[in-house]
Amino acid sequence: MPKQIQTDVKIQSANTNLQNKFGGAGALQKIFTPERIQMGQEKIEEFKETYFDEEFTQLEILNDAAKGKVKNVEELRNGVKSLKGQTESLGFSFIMRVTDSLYKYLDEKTELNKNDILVVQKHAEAILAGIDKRERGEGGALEKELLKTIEMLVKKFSKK
Amino acid sequence: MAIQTIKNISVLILDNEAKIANLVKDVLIALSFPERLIFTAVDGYEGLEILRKRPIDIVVTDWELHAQSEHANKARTAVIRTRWGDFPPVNGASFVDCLRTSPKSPNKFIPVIMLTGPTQSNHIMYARDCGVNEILMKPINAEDLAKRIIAIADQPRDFIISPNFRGPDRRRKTAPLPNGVSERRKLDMKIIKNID
Repeated sequence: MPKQIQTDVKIQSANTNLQNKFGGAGALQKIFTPERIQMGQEKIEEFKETYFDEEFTQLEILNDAAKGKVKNVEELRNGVKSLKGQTESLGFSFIMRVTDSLYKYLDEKTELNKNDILVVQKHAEAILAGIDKRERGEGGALEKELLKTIEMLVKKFSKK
Repeated sequence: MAIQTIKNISVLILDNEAKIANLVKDVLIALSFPERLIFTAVDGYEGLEILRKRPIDIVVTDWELHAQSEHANKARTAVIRTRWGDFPPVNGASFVDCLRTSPKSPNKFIPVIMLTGPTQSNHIMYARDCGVNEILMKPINAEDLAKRIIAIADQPRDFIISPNFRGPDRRRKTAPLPNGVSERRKLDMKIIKNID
């Protein structure tokens, strides 16, 4: 017979405090009307529309990286991470994929050799191309080629 | 008929990206949450400070939540000793873990919605096992956010405290057991007390 192991468990029964604060069962369905949800979604769409009009703090670092110059790996990694987070939240797939790839490649790197610089350069070029084109989706044939190049380089030079 | 609005529900949004946190705030305002009761934090440390100072009803946190506020240590991978306990400043799930398990947690029962990137099942399992109530996949979508809030409010779950897990009951299914089969977890489980 399998050994029975006793586990001490405390349970707090589900309570309806939050539901009551909202106004009781079913109240939220009345509060979250289709019009309000639509308004909320419009906020997201407006933000996406103007996203590329805002100043990108990461541009200088990316421009340098596209020229093969990386002064500070940590700074580059933080800049890429920030861009990745934003584009992921907004669904800008192409830029998100490239920034994700670069962020993972830079993970735990403090110095970059020649091959790393090449990988970073190609990523930066792709990101800048995406920003320049205001690419909000997965991109077209060009973006697919850029991704292919990046994936090939990462596979070739990644040590993991 | 007057449209109902939300009066006294407070929300805390945690995201490393202030732009995104403010976007989520705007969506919540559009859904009629009161603007004065929506708070934002750039990391778990700042979030915990806010939770200590004021009552919060719902937390919305990003998965990516690296330490970066003035409250946090600059070291990227060190475990931070805070008054809330040891806190690995790695991600939103570890923030939730700290919230659920630290003896100095300001509110271990608070409902949490986590935003995470597309299809990483290991993130989802980890987040669930840290005690997250609902997962919301990116990209951000107003309807899905509304549905998660409705789920938290209208489908409340028992809160489990055991040596290996603290958080909302991870079992959602209410299907009955087959005839003659005992509920195995209750055979092994000694319920100390209901802590209503």
